[in-house]
Amino acid sequence: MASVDRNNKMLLDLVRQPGNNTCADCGIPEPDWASYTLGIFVCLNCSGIHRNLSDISKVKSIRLDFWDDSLVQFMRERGNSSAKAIYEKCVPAFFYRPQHKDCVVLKDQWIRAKYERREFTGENYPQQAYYLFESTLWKKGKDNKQFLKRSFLLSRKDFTLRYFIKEDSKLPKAVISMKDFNAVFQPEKISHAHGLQISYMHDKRTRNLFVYHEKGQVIVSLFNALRATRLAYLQKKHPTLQDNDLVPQITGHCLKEGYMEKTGPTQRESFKKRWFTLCSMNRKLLYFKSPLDATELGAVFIGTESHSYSASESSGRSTRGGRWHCGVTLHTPDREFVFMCEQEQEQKEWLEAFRKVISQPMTSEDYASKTLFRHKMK
Amino acid sequence: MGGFASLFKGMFGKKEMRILMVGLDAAGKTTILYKLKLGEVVTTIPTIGFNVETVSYKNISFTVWDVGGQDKIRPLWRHYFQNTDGIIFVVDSNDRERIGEAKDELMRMLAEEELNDAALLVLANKQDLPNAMNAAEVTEKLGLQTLRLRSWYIQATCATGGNGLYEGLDWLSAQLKKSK
Repeated sequence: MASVDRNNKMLLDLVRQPGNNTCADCGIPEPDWASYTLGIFVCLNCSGIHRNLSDISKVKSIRLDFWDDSLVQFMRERGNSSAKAIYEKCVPAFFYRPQHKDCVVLKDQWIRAKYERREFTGENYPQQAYYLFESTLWKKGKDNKQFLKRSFLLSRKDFTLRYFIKEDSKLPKAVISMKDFNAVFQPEKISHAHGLQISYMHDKRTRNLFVYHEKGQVIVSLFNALRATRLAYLQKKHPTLQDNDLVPQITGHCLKEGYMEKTGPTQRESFKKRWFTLCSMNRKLLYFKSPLDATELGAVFIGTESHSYSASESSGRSTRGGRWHCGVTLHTPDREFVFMCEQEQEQKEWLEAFRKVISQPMTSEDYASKTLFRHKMK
Repeated sequence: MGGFASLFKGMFGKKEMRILMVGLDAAGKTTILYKLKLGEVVTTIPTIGFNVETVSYKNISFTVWDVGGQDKIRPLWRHYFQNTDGIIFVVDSNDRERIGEAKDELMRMLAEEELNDAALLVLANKQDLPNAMNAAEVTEKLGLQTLRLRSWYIQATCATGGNGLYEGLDWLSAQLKKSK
Protein backbone atom coordinates (compact mmCIF):
# COMPACT_ATOMS: atom_id res chain seq x y z
CA MET A 1 0.00 0.00 0.00
CA ALA A 2 2.97 2.33 0.59
CA SER A 3 3.66 2.67 -3.14
CA VAL A 4 -0.02 3.32 -3.74
CA ASP A 5 -0.07 6.35 -1.50
CA ARG A 6 3.27 7.42 -2.91
CA ASN A 7 1.76 7.38 -6.41
CA ASN A 8 -1.23 9.46 -5.32
CA LYS A 9 1.19 11.92 -3.71
CA MET A 10 3.26 12.12 -6.91
CA LEU A 11 0.08 12.86 -8.88
CA LEU A 12 -0.93 15.56 -6.39
CA ASP A 13 2.50 17.15 -6.96
CA LEU A 14 2.15 16.82 -10.73
CA VAL A 15 -1.28 18.44 -10.78
CA ARG A 16 0.09 21.54 -9.05
CA GLN A 17 2.51 22.23 -11.90
CA PRO A 18 1.71 25.03 -14.37
CA GLY A 19 -0.35 23.63 -17.23
CA ASN A 20 -1.67 20.77 -15.13
CA ASN A 21 -3.16 23.08 -12.51
CA THR A 22 -6.19 23.91 -14.64
CA CYS A 23 -8.62 21.49 -16.29
CA ALA A 24 -7.34 20.55 -19.78
CA ASP A 25 -10.83 21.01 -21.22
CA CYS A 26 -12.67 23.78 -19.35
CA GLY A 27 -9.84 25.62 -17.63
CA ILE A 28 -11.18 25.56 -14.07
CA PRO A 29 -8.39 25.55 -11.44
CA GLU A 30 -7.41 22.54 -9.31
CA PRO A 31 -8.54 19.55 -11.38
CA ASP A 32 -8.41 16.31 -9.40
CA TRP A 33 -9.29 13.73 -12.05
CA ALA A 34 -7.21 12.49 -14.95
CA SER A 35 -7.57 10.65 -18.22
CA TYR A 36 -4.78 8.08 -18.02
CA THR A 37 -5.05 7.16 -21.69
CA LEU A 38 -4.76 10.76 -22.93
CA GLY A 39 -2.41 11.87 -20.13
CA ILE A 40 -4.38 14.94 -19.07
CA PHE A 41 -5.68 16.36 -15.79
CA VAL A 42 -9.36 17.34 -15.84
CA CYS A 43 -12.07 18.45 -13.41
CA LEU A 44 -14.82 16.19 -12.05
CA ASN A 45 -17.40 17.51 -14.55
CA CYS A 46 -15.19 17.02 -17.60
CA SER A 47 -14.21 13.55 -16.32
CA GLY A 48 -17.92 12.70 -16.55
CA ILE A 49 -17.83 13.55 -20.27
CA HIS A 50 -14.62 11.57 -20.82
CA ARG A 51 -16.31 8.47 -19.33
CA ASN A 52 -18.59 8.42 -22.38
CA LEU A 53 -15.59 8.08 -24.71
CA SER A 54 -14.28 4.86 -23.21
CA ASP A 55 -12.53 3.77 -26.42
CA ILE A 56 -10.09 6.67 -26.27
CA SER A 57 -10.28 8.02 -22.74
CA LYS A 58 -10.34 6.32 -19.35
CA VAL A 59 -10.49 8.36 -16.17
CA LYS A 60 -9.42 7.93 -12.59
CA SER A 61 -9.54 10.18 -9.56
CA ILE A 62 -6.07 11.24 -8.46
CA ARG A 63 -7.23 10.98 -4.85
CA LEU A 64 -9.83 8.19 -4.77
CA ASP A 65 -8.30 5.63 -7.14
CA PHE A 66 -5.18 3.48 -7.08
CA TRP A 67 -2.55 4.20 -9.73
CA ASP A 68 0.10 1.89 -11.18
CA ASP A 69 3.66 3.19 -11.50
CA SER A 70 3.48 3.01 -15.31
CA LEU A 71 0.37 5.20 -15.46
CA VAL A 72 1.92 7.81 -13.18
CA GLN A 73 4.99 7.76 -15.41
CA PHE A 74 2.81 8.39 -18.48
CA MET A 75 1.02 11.29 -16.73
CA ARG A 76 4.44 12.77 -15.95
CA GLU A 77 5.60 12.44 -19.58
CA ARG A 78 2.38 13.77 -21.14
CA GLY A 79 0.56 16.32 -18.97
CA ASN A 80 -1.80 19.09 -20.08
CA SER A 81 0.71 21.26 -21.95
CA SER A 82 2.05 18.51 -24.23
CA ALA A 83 -1.47 17.18 -24.80
CA LYS A 84 -2.58 20.66 -25.77
CA ALA A 85 0.29 20.92 -28.28
CA ILE A 86 -1.09 17.78 -29.94
CA TYR A 87 -4.88 18.06 -29.65
CA GLU A 88 -5.20 21.84 -29.89
CA LYS A 89 -2.43 22.36 -32.43
CA CYS A 90 -4.65 24.24 -34.88
CA VAL A 91 -7.94 25.33 -33.37
CA PRO A 92 -9.56 27.84 -35.78
CA ALA A 93 -9.84 31.37 -34.34
CA PHE A 94 -13.65 31.30 -34.54
CA PHE A 95 -14.01 27.99 -32.68
CA TYR A 96 -15.66 28.44 -29.31
CA ARG A 97 -13.58 27.13 -26.41
CA PRO A 98 -16.01 26.37 -23.58
CA GLN A 99 -15.45 27.49 -20.02
CA HIS A 100 -16.49 25.71 -16.85
CA LYS A 101 -19.80 27.57 -16.58
CA ASP A 102 -20.86 26.73 -20.16
CA CYS A 103 -23.58 24.18 -20.88
CA VAL A 104 -22.85 20.47 -21.16
CA VAL A 105 -23.37 20.14 -24.93
CA LEU A 106 -20.66 22.73 -25.64
CA LYS A 107 -18.15 20.99 -23.38
CA ASP A 108 -19.13 17.52 -24.61
CA GLN A 109 -18.65 18.49 -28.26
CA TRP A 110 -15.39 20.35 -27.55
CA ILE A 111 -14.00 17.22 -25.91
CA ARG A 112 -15.25 14.98 -28.73
CA ALA A 113 -13.91 17.36 -31.41
CA LYS A 114 -10.50 17.41 -29.72
CA TYR A 115 -9.90 13.76 -28.86
CA GLU A 116 -12.47 11.63 -30.70
CA ARG A 117 -12.64 13.39 -34.08
CA ARG A 118 -9.14 14.90 -33.71
CA GLU A 119 -10.28 18.01 -35.55
CA PHE A 120 -7.41 20.22 -34.37
CA THR A 121 -4.36 17.95 -34.69
CA GLY A 122 -3.66 19.22 -38.20
CA GLU A 123 -4.02 15.73 -39.70
CA ASN A 124 -7.28 15.61 -41.50
CA TYR A 125 -10.01 18.02 -40.56
CA PRO A 126 -10.69 20.84 -43.03
CA GLN A 127 -11.79 24.18 -41.57
CA GLN A 128 -13.97 24.53 -44.67
CA ALA A 129 -16.36 22.12 -42.99
CA TYR A 130 -17.53 25.18 -41.07
CA TYR A 131 -17.89 27.44 -44.10
CA LEU A 132 -21.13 26.04 -45.44
CA PHE A 133 -23.86 24.84 -43.18
CA GLU A 134 -27.18 23.38 -44.10
CA SER A 135 -29.46 21.61 -41.68
CA THR A 136 -33.02 21.09 -40.56
CA LEU A 137 -33.60 22.40 -37.05
CA TRP A 138 -36.58 22.57 -34.70
CA LYS A 139 -37.57 26.23 -34.48
CA LYS A 140 -40.05 27.77 -32.04
CA GLY A 141 -42.98 29.54 -33.67
CA LYS A 142 -42.94 33.34 -33.42
CA ASP A 143 -46.22 33.66 -31.57
CA ASN A 144 -46.74 30.19 -30.16
CA LYS A 145 -44.85 27.59 -28.19
CA GLN A 146 -44.75 24.99 -30.92
CA PHE A 147 -41.42 23.86 -32.37
CA LEU A 148 -41.53 23.04 -36.10
CA LYS A 149 -38.89 21.79 -38.54
CA ARG A 150 -37.26 24.50 -40.64
CA SER A 151 -34.34 24.37 -43.09
CA PHE A 152 -31.41 26.63 -42.31
CA LEU A 153 -28.74 27.62 -44.80
CA LEU A 154 -25.66 29.61 -43.89
CA SER A 155 -23.73 31.44 -46.59
CA ARG A 156 -20.27 32.86 -46.22
CA LYS A 157 -20.52 34.60 -49.60
CA ASP A 158 -22.97 37.24 -48.44
CA PHE A 159 -22.65 36.71 -44.67
CA THR A 160 -26.22 35.57 -44.15
CA LEU A 161 -28.25 32.87 -42.49
CA ARG A 162 -31.50 32.01 -44.30
CA TYR A 163 -34.29 29.76 -43.21
CA PHE A 164 -37.04 28.14 -45.21
CA ILE A 165 -40.47 26.85 -44.23
CA LYS A 166 -40.07 23.80 -46.47
CA GLU A 167 -36.93 22.15 -47.74
CA ASP A 168 -37.89 22.87 -51.35
CA SER A 169 -39.10 26.44 -50.72
CA LYS A 170 -37.64 28.90 -53.22
CA LEU A 171 -38.01 31.99 -51.07
CA PRO A 172 -36.55 32.13 -47.61
CA LYS A 173 -38.79 33.09 -44.66
CA ALA A 174 -35.97 35.31 -43.41
CA VAL A 175 -32.54 36.46 -44.50
CA ILE A 176 -30.47 37.20 -41.41
CA SER A 177 -27.42 39.40 -41.66
CA MET A 178 -24.30 38.83 -39.59
CA LYS A 179 -24.35 42.50 -38.62
CA ASP A 180 -25.72 42.94 -35.06
CA PHE A 181 -25.91 39.18 -34.79
CA ASN A 182 -25.59 36.98 -31.73
CA ALA A 183 -25.98 33.30 -30.90
CA VAL A 184 -25.90 31.80 -27.42
CA PHE A 185 -26.83 28.45 -25.90
CA GLN A 186 -29.87 28.73 -23.60
CA PRO A 187 -30.75 25.16 -22.56
CA GLU A 188 -32.73 26.17 -19.46
CA LYS A 189 -34.77 28.90 -21.12
CA ILE A 190 -35.58 26.72 -24.14
CA SER A 191 -36.04 23.57 -21.97
CA HIS A 192 -33.83 21.53 -24.29
CA ALA A 193 -30.21 20.50 -23.62
CA HIS A 194 -29.29 21.65 -27.15
CA GLY A 195 -31.33 24.89 -27.17
CA LEU A 196 -29.72 27.79 -29.05
CA GLN A 197 -30.93 31.40 -29.12
CA ILE A 198 -30.14 33.40 -32.27
CA SER A 199 -30.66 37.18 -32.11
CA TYR A 200 -30.46 39.80 -34.86
CA MET A 201 -31.87 43.24 -35.70
CA HIS A 202 -35.01 43.50 -37.77
CA ASP A 203 -36.82 46.84 -38.27
CA LYS A 204 -34.79 48.43 -35.45
CA ARG A 205 -35.93 45.77 -33.04
CA THR A 206 -34.30 42.62 -31.80
CA ARG A 207 -35.62 39.36 -33.24
CA ASN A 208 -34.97 36.22 -31.22
CA LEU A 209 -35.10 32.76 -32.77
CA PHE A 210 -35.09 29.67 -30.57
CA VAL A 211 -33.85 26.46 -32.17
CA TYR A 212 -32.48 23.03 -31.31
CA HIS A 213 -31.38 19.81 -32.97
CA GLU A 214 -31.52 16.35 -31.38
CA LYS A 215 -27.85 15.77 -32.15
CA GLY A 216 -25.36 17.71 -30.05
CA GLN A 217 -22.80 17.59 -32.84
CA VAL A 218 -25.15 19.28 -35.32
CA ILE A 219 -26.15 22.17 -33.05
CA VAL A 220 -22.58 22.85 -31.90
CA SER A 221 -21.36 22.68 -35.53
CA LEU A 222 -24.03 25.23 -36.46
CA PHE A 223 -22.92 27.44 -33.58
CA ASN A 224 -19.29 27.31 -34.72
CA ALA A 225 -20.25 27.75 -38.38
CA LEU A 226 -22.20 30.88 -37.38
CA ARG A 227 -19.13 32.07 -35.50
CA ALA A 228 -16.92 31.40 -38.55
CA THR A 229 -19.24 33.44 -40.77
CA ARG A 230 -19.57 36.24 -38.26
CA LEU A 231 -15.77 36.41 -37.86
CA ALA A 232 -15.37 36.58 -41.66
CA TYR A 233 -17.88 39.45 -41.66
CA LEU A 234 -16.01 41.28 -38.87
CA GLN A 235 -12.68 40.77 -40.66
CA LYS A 236 -14.11 42.36 -43.79
CA LYS A 237 -15.65 45.20 -41.81
CA HIS A 238 -12.48 45.94 -39.82
CA PRO A 239 -9.61 45.08 -42.18
CA THR A 240 -7.01 46.68 -39.91
CA LEU A 241 -7.95 44.79 -36.74
CA GLN A 242 -6.35 41.52 -35.67
CA ASP A 243 -8.29 38.33 -34.92
CA ASN A 244 -7.42 38.75 -31.23
CA ASP A 245 -9.48 41.96 -31.16
CA LEU A 246 -12.33 40.53 -33.20
CA VAL A 247 -12.81 37.12 -31.53
CA PRO A 248 -14.39 38.56 -28.34
CA GLN A 249 -16.96 40.35 -30.54
CA ILE A 250 -18.15 37.25 -32.44
CA THR A 251 -20.84 36.13 -30.01
CA GLY A 252 -21.46 36.92 -26.36
CA HIS A 253 -23.38 35.82 -23.31
CA CYS A 254 -25.91 38.09 -21.73
CA LEU A 255 -24.42 39.92 -18.79
CA LYS A 256 -27.62 39.34 -16.79
CA GLU A 257 -31.06 37.98 -17.51
CA GLY A 258 -34.17 37.55 -15.37
CA TYR A 259 -37.51 38.84 -14.16
CA MET A 260 -37.94 42.29 -12.60
CA GLU A 261 -40.99 44.47 -12.09
CA LYS A 262 -41.09 47.86 -13.83
CA THR A 263 -43.24 50.95 -13.69
CA GLY A 264 -43.86 53.60 -16.35
CA PRO A 265 -42.28 57.01 -17.04
CA THR A 266 -44.21 58.94 -14.35
CA GLN A 267 -43.38 56.21 -11.82
CA ARG A 268 -47.05 56.24 -10.85
CA GLU A 269 -48.03 53.43 -13.21
CA SER A 270 -48.59 50.04 -11.65
CA PHE A 271 -45.65 47.65 -11.56
CA LYS A 272 -45.61 44.82 -14.08
CA LYS A 273 -43.43 41.72 -14.12
CA ARG A 274 -41.20 41.59 -17.22
CA TRP A 275 -38.27 39.50 -18.47
CA PHE A 276 -35.11 41.62 -18.82
CA THR A 277 -31.86 40.94 -20.62
CA LEU A 278 -28.74 43.06 -20.43
CA CYS A 279 -26.06 42.63 -23.06
CA SER A 280 -22.68 44.34 -22.80
CA MET A 281 -21.93 43.85 -26.51
CA ASN A 282 -24.59 46.33 -27.62
CA ARG A 283 -25.07 48.17 -24.27
CA LYS A 284 -28.79 47.49 -24.36
CA LEU A 285 -31.29 46.58 -21.68
CA LEU A 286 -34.21 44.83 -23.38
CA TYR A 287 -37.46 43.78 -21.79
CA PHE A 288 -39.98 41.17 -22.85
CA LYS A 289 -43.29 39.90 -21.60
CA SER A 290 -41.80 36.41 -21.25
CA PRO A 291 -38.38 34.79 -21.79
CA LEU A 292 -39.13 33.18 -25.18
CA ASP A 293 -40.63 36.23 -26.87
CA ALA A 294 -39.60 36.94 -30.46
CA THR A 295 -39.23 40.72 -30.02
CA GLU A 296 -38.82 43.08 -27.09
CA LEU A 297 -41.52 45.35 -25.68
CA GLY A 298 -38.93 48.04 -25.13
CA ALA A 299 -35.25 48.85 -24.80
CA VAL A 300 -32.88 51.28 -23.07
CA PHE A 301 -29.45 52.24 -24.35
CA ILE A 302 -26.91 52.45 -21.52
CA GLY A 303 -24.10 54.99 -21.91
CA THR A 304 -21.21 55.85 -19.58
CA GLU A 305 -20.94 57.86 -16.37
CA SER A 306 -19.64 60.89 -18.29
CA HIS A 307 -22.88 60.81 -20.27
CA SER A 308 -24.80 60.92 -16.95
CA TYR A 309 -25.75 57.25 -16.69
CA SER A 310 -25.68 55.60 -13.27
CA ALA A 311 -27.38 52.85 -11.26
CA SER A 312 -28.37 52.89 -7.59
CA GLU A 313 -30.20 50.88 -5.02
CA SER A 314 -33.66 52.10 -4.12
CA SER A 315 -35.99 51.16 -1.33
CA GLY A 316 -39.28 49.49 -2.01
CA ARG A 317 -41.65 52.25 -1.01
CA SER A 318 -45.25 52.05 -2.11
CA THR A 319 -45.05 49.63 -4.97
CA ARG A 320 -48.34 49.95 -6.78
CA GLY A 321 -49.42 46.56 -7.96
CA GLY A 322 -45.96 45.15 -7.46
CA ARG A 323 -45.07 42.34 -5.10
CA TRP A 324 -41.30 42.77 -5.06
CA HIS A 325 -39.37 45.22 -2.91
CA CYS A 326 -35.65 45.17 -3.78
CA GLY A 327 -35.34 48.22 -6.00
CA VAL A 328 -32.77 49.24 -8.60
CA THR A 329 -32.88 52.67 -10.23
CA LEU A 330 -31.20 53.25 -13.56
CA HIS A 331 -30.54 56.94 -14.18
CA THR A 332 -30.25 58.07 -17.79
CA PRO A 333 -30.12 61.67 -19.14
CA ASP A 334 -33.77 61.37 -20.21
CA ARG A 335 -35.42 59.31 -17.55
CA GLU A 336 -35.15 57.37 -14.31
CA PHE A 337 -36.12 53.73 -14.55
CA VAL A 338 -37.25 51.99 -11.38
CA PHE A 339 -37.08 48.19 -11.29
CA MET A 340 -38.02 45.82 -8.46
CA CYS A 341 -36.28 42.50 -7.86
CA GLU A 342 -37.69 39.63 -5.85
CA GLN A 343 -34.57 39.06 -3.78
CA GLU A 344 -31.58 41.04 -2.56
CA GLN A 345 -29.21 38.73 -4.44
CA GLU A 346 -30.94 39.59 -7.72
CA GLN A 347 -30.85 43.28 -6.86
CA LYS A 348 -27.11 43.07 -6.22
CA GLU A 349 -26.49 41.22 -9.48
CA TRP A 350 -28.48 43.72 -11.56
CA LEU A 351 -26.67 46.66 -9.94
CA GLU A 352 -23.32 45.04 -10.67
CA ALA A 353 -24.33 44.31 -14.27
CA PHE A 354 -25.57 47.89 -14.90
CA ARG A 355 -22.41 49.34 -13.37
CA LYS A 356 -20.26 47.06 -15.48
CA VAL A 357 -21.82 48.34 -18.71
CA ILE A 358 -21.69 51.97 -17.50
CA SER A 359 -17.98 51.68 -16.68
CA GLN A 360 -17.16 50.15 -20.07
CA PRO A 361 -15.89 52.79 -22.57
CA MET A 362 -18.08 53.45 -25.61
CA THR A 363 -16.83 52.37 -29.01
CA SER A 364 -17.50 54.29 -32.22
CA GLU A 365 -20.22 51.72 -33.02
CA ASP A 366 -21.86 52.35 -29.67
CA TYR A 367 -22.05 56.06 -30.56
CA ALA A 368 -23.58 55.21 -33.92
CA SER A 369 -26.09 52.85 -32.37
CA LYS A 370 -26.95 55.46 -29.71
CA THR A 371 -27.83 58.10 -32.31
CA LEU A 372 -30.01 55.64 -34.17
CA PHE A 373 -31.57 54.53 -30.98
CA ARG A 374 -34.53 56.22 -29.40
CA HIS A 375 -35.66 55.27 -25.97
CA LYS A 376 -38.37 52.83 -26.61
CA MET A 377 -39.38 51.92 -23.11
CA LYS A 378 -42.90 52.80 -22.27
CA MET B 1 -49.04 -1.65 13.42
CA GLY B 2 -51.40 -4.45 14.46
CA GLY B 3 -51.37 -7.89 12.88
CA PHE B 4 -54.49 -7.29 10.87
CA ALA B 5 -53.27 -3.93 9.58
CA SER B 6 -49.94 -5.33 8.47
CA LEU B 7 -51.66 -8.28 6.82
CA PHE B 8 -53.95 -5.85 5.06
CA LYS B 9 -51.00 -3.76 3.93
CA GLY B 10 -49.24 -6.90 2.75
CA MET B 11 -52.21 -7.87 0.61
CA PHE B 12 -53.18 -4.55 -0.87
CA GLY B 13 -50.65 -1.90 0.16
CA LYS B 14 -47.34 -0.98 -1.29
CA LYS B 15 -44.42 -3.28 -0.53
CA GLU B 16 -40.95 -1.91 0.06
CA MET B 17 -37.56 -3.18 -0.98
CA ARG B 18 -34.18 -1.78 -0.04
CA ILE B 19 -31.67 -2.14 -2.86
CA LEU B 20 -27.94 -1.48 -2.82
CA MET B 21 -26.48 -0.78 -6.26
CA VAL B 22 -22.71 -1.13 -6.56
CA GLY B 23 -20.05 -1.98 -9.12
CA LEU B 24 -16.75 -0.61 -10.45
CA ASP B 25 -16.55 3.08 -11.38
CA ALA B 26 -18.06 4.05 -14.74
CA ALA B 27 -20.20 0.88 -14.94
CA GLY B 28 -23.34 3.00 -15.39
CA LYS B 29 -24.93 2.88 -11.90
CA THR B 30 -26.04 6.52 -11.75
CA THR B 31 -27.33 6.43 -15.32
CA ILE B 32 -29.42 3.34 -14.41
CA LEU B 33 -30.75 5.01 -11.24
CA TYR B 34 -31.97 8.12 -13.05
CA LYS B 35 -33.23 6.22 -16.08
CA LEU B 36 -35.45 4.28 -13.65
CA LYS B 37 -36.44 7.33 -11.65
CA LEU B 38 -36.97 9.90 -14.44
CA GLY B 39 -37.14 7.81 -17.60
CA GLU B 40 -34.42 10.09 -18.97
CA VAL B 41 -30.73 9.82 -19.74
CA VAL B 42 -29.05 12.38 -17.51
CA THR B 43 -25.51 13.68 -17.79
CA THR B 44 -23.62 12.08 -14.95
CA ILE B 45 -20.35 12.80 -13.21
CA PRO B 46 -18.47 10.26 -11.08
CA THR B 47 -20.37 9.70 -7.83
CA ILE B 48 -18.37 10.72 -4.79
CA GLY B 49 -20.53 9.39 -1.97
CA PHE B 50 -23.98 8.19 -2.99
CA ASN B 51 -27.30 8.95 -4.67
CA VAL B 52 -30.55 7.55 -3.33
CA GLU B 53 -33.96 7.50 -5.01
CA THR B 54 -37.19 5.62 -4.57
CA VAL B 55 -38.56 4.03 -7.69
CA SER B 56 -42.13 2.69 -7.76
CA TYR B 57 -42.76 -0.27 -10.02
CA LYS B 58 -45.60 -2.84 -9.95
CA ASN B 59 -46.80 -1.74 -6.53
CA ILE B 60 -43.33 -2.09 -5.00
CA SER B 61 -41.39 0.85 -3.73
CA PHE B 62 -37.70 0.25 -4.42
CA THR B 63 -35.31 2.40 -2.41
CA VAL B 64 -32.16 2.29 -4.49
CA TRP B 65 -28.81 3.35 -3.01
CA ASP B 66 -26.26 4.11 -5.73
CA VAL B 67 -22.79 4.20 -4.19
CA GLY B 68 -19.61 5.48 -5.87
CA GLY B 69 -17.20 2.88 -7.25
CA GLN B 70 -13.73 4.49 -7.11
CA ASP B 71 -11.01 2.18 -5.69
CA LYS B 72 -10.60 3.88 -2.34
CA ILE B 73 -14.29 4.35 -1.62
CA ARG B 74 -15.30 0.73 -2.31
CA PRO B 75 -14.57 -0.22 1.34
CA LEU B 76 -17.40 2.19 2.24
CA TRP B 77 -19.97 -0.04 0.52
CA ARG B 78 -20.26 -2.12 3.70
CA HIS B 79 -21.81 0.83 5.53
CA TYR B 80 -24.87 0.33 3.33
CA PHE B 81 -25.20 -3.47 3.79
CA GLN B 82 -27.55 -3.52 6.77
CA ASN B 83 -31.18 -4.44 5.93
CA THR B 84 -30.42 -4.76 2.22
CA ASP B 85 -33.02 -6.94 0.47
CA GLY B 86 -31.29 -6.98 -2.86
CA ILE B 87 -27.94 -6.09 -4.42
CA ILE B 88 -27.71 -4.76 -7.96
CA PHE B 89 -24.16 -5.34 -9.19
CA VAL B 90 -23.54 -3.34 -12.37
CA VAL B 91 -20.85 -4.44 -14.82
CA ASP B 92 -19.49 -2.53 -17.82
CA SER B 93 -19.72 -5.44 -20.30
CA ASN B 94 -17.37 -3.61 -22.64
CA ASP B 95 -14.54 -3.42 -20.08
CA ARG B 96 -12.79 -6.76 -20.57
CA GLU B 97 -9.66 -5.47 -18.82
CA ARG B 98 -11.36 -4.99 -15.49
CA ILE B 99 -13.88 -7.85 -15.42
CA GLY B 100 -11.50 -9.77 -13.11
CA GLU B 101 -11.39 -6.80 -10.75
CA ALA B 102 -15.21 -6.71 -10.83
CA LYS B 103 -15.30 -10.40 -9.88
CA ASP B 104 -12.95 -9.84 -6.93
CA GLU B 105 -15.09 -6.98 -5.62
CA LEU B 106 -18.29 -8.98 -6.02
CA MET B 107 -16.94 -12.07 -4.25
CA ARG B 108 -15.45 -9.99 -1.44
CA MET B 109 -18.82 -8.37 -0.88
CA LEU B 110 -20.83 -11.61 -1.01
CA ALA B 111 -18.62 -13.07 1.72
CA GLU B 112 -20.06 -10.54 4.19
CA GLU B 113 -22.50 -12.10 6.63
CA GLU B 114 -24.83 -9.12 6.60
CA LEU B 115 -25.64 -9.85 2.96
CA ASN B 116 -26.41 -13.59 3.42
CA ASP B 117 -30.10 -13.12 2.67
CA ALA B 118 -29.77 -10.53 -0.06
CA ALA B 119 -30.76 -11.48 -3.61
CA LEU B 120 -28.16 -10.69 -6.29
CA LEU B 121 -29.09 -9.10 -9.60
CA VAL B 122 -26.17 -8.62 -11.98
CA LEU B 123 -26.73 -6.11 -14.76
CA ALA B 124 -24.44 -6.72 -17.75
CA ASN B 125 -24.62 -3.10 -18.87
CA LYS B 126 -23.51 -1.22 -22.00
CA GLN B 127 -24.82 -3.89 -24.35
CA ASP B 128 -25.11 -1.20 -27.04
CA LEU B 129 -21.32 -1.12 -27.43
CA PRO B 130 -20.12 -3.34 -30.29
CA ASN B 131 -17.47 -5.18 -28.29
CA ALA B 132 -19.65 -5.89 -25.25
CA MET B 133 -19.56 -9.35 -23.62
CA ASN B 134 -22.97 -11.01 -23.58
CA ALA B 135 -24.70 -12.17 -20.39
CA ALA B 136 -23.31 -15.72 -20.69
CA GLU B 137 -19.76 -14.45 -20.98
CA VAL B 138 -20.18 -12.07 -18.03
CA THR B 139 -21.70 -14.94 -15.97
CA GLU B 140 -18.64 -17.04 -16.63
CA LYS B 141 -16.08 -14.26 -16.04
CA LEU B 142 -17.72 -13.33 -12.74
CA GLY B 143 -17.94 -17.00 -11.69
CA LEU B 144 -21.64 -16.70 -10.89
CA GLN B 145 -22.27 -20.43 -11.45
CA THR B 146 -20.02 -21.17 -8.44
CA LEU B 147 -22.36 -19.28 -6.09
CA ARG B 148 -24.11 -21.50 -3.53
CA LEU B 149 -27.10 -20.63 -1.33
CA ARG B 150 -27.67 -17.39 -3.16
CA SER B 151 -30.50 -16.52 -5.47
CA TRP B 152 -28.97 -14.66 -8.36
CA TYR B 153 -29.93 -13.55 -11.83
CA ILE B 154 -28.12 -11.83 -14.67
CA GLN B 155 -29.78 -9.41 -17.06
CA ALA B 156 -28.25 -7.80 -20.14
CA THR B 157 -28.98 -4.04 -20.13
CA CYS B 158 -28.42 -0.83 -21.99
CA ALA B 159 -29.07 1.93 -19.45
CA THR B 160 -29.22 4.74 -21.98
CA GLY B 161 -31.89 2.94 -24.02
CA GLY B 162 -33.56 1.51 -20.90
CA ASN B 163 -33.37 -2.05 -22.26
CA GLY B 164 -33.44 -4.78 -19.62
CA LEU B 165 -33.87 -2.52 -16.59
CA TYR B 166 -37.49 -3.42 -15.84
CA GLU B 167 -36.83 -7.10 -16.51
CA GLY B 168 -34.26 -6.83 -13.71
CA LEU B 169 -36.78 -5.21 -11.36
CA ASP B 170 -39.31 -7.93 -12.25
CA TRP B 171 -36.89 -10.57 -11.04
CA LEU B 172 -36.13 -8.62 -7.84
CA SER B 173 -39.83 -8.21 -7.06
CA ALA B 174 -40.38 -11.96 -7.52
CA GLN B 175 -37.63 -12.58 -4.94
CA LEU B 176 -39.39 -10.28 -2.48
CA LYS B 177 -42.61 -12.28 -2.82
CA LYS B 178 -40.75 -15.55 -2.33
CA SER B 179 -39.04 -14.44 0.87
CA LYS B 180 -42.16 -12.99 2.55
